[in-house]
Amino acid sequence: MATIIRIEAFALYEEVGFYTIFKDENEESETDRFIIRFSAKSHPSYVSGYKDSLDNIVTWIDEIGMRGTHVASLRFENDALALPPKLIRDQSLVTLETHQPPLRLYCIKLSPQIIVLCGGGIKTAQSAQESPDLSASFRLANKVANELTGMIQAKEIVLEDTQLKADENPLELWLP
Amino acid sequence: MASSYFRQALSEVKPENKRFVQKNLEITTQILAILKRKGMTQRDLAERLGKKEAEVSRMLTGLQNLTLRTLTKVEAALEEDIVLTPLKAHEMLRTDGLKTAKVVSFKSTNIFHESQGHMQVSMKGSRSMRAYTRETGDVRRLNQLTSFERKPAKVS
Repeated sequence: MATIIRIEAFALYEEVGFYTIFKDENEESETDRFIIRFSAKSHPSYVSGYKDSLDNIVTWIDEIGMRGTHVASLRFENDALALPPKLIRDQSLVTLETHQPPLRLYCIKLSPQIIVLCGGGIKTAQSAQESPDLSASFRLANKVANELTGMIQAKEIVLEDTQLKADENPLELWLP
Repeated sequence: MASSYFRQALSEVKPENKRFVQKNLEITTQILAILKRKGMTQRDLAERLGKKEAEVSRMLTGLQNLTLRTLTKVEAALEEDIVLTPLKAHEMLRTDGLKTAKVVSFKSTNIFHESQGHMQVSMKGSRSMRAYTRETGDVRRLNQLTSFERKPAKVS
């Protein structure tokens, strides 16, 4: 059964436009679900002990938005090598990773000024594939990256400065 | 426009965590600027450090807890300061009897020569000095200027 992904703006800065993904009929984006999980104490999904790591990630997004992506190295997710052959490795999938304790948020860098934030979770093993909390987010992020890259190449999406433009609004992807 | 959950989380960031990321990005900015100026890649830096390129890339994300040991190893590999305390920066200027100035232009009669890796500029009618310029708030020595900035012109 196909997964429907909706792409919407998350936080638009002068230097970088951050977008996010909504999965199927979820009201919160995958990024918001990540934030809620580690910050909203009253939420059923809340996991304690990760405030500092989440602080670092949200601050990073804010600072990069203002400074630009050139001030940091966005690390390509090498775990893509562990995917099944049918999923093509995509150079745009990068990882935001904090330590003590370890959190990961997957992102798709479409251009130096446009980043699509996906979901993430707690890293409990050496690789995303081996971390139960990360594997689903990682696979989804990789599929979205793959699809978006194809749409850019087919000119179905245009990247203009910090804006992601498509004929349909909001942009929807149908993932197998 | 921004996600309300993101805005909320941002407003609740602890001051020390905000500083951690800000300082981290200032350092990564500095390292990347040095690499660019020297025509080096992250791979080159990795080789000098005896590390894998992926390790260097991870180090420069702005989220890693860089130890002083790591920073000084990178400084040694690049042969340049990455972090200077305000006192140290001031001492360096004071000890050399220098004054901080924007890049100035010089008369063609001025003599340029290198001494211990620094450019010394003799200006007619004034004591010799090393000229410093400010780039993004950092003090740099003349030998760290770009070739465009080092072109002598008329004195101002």
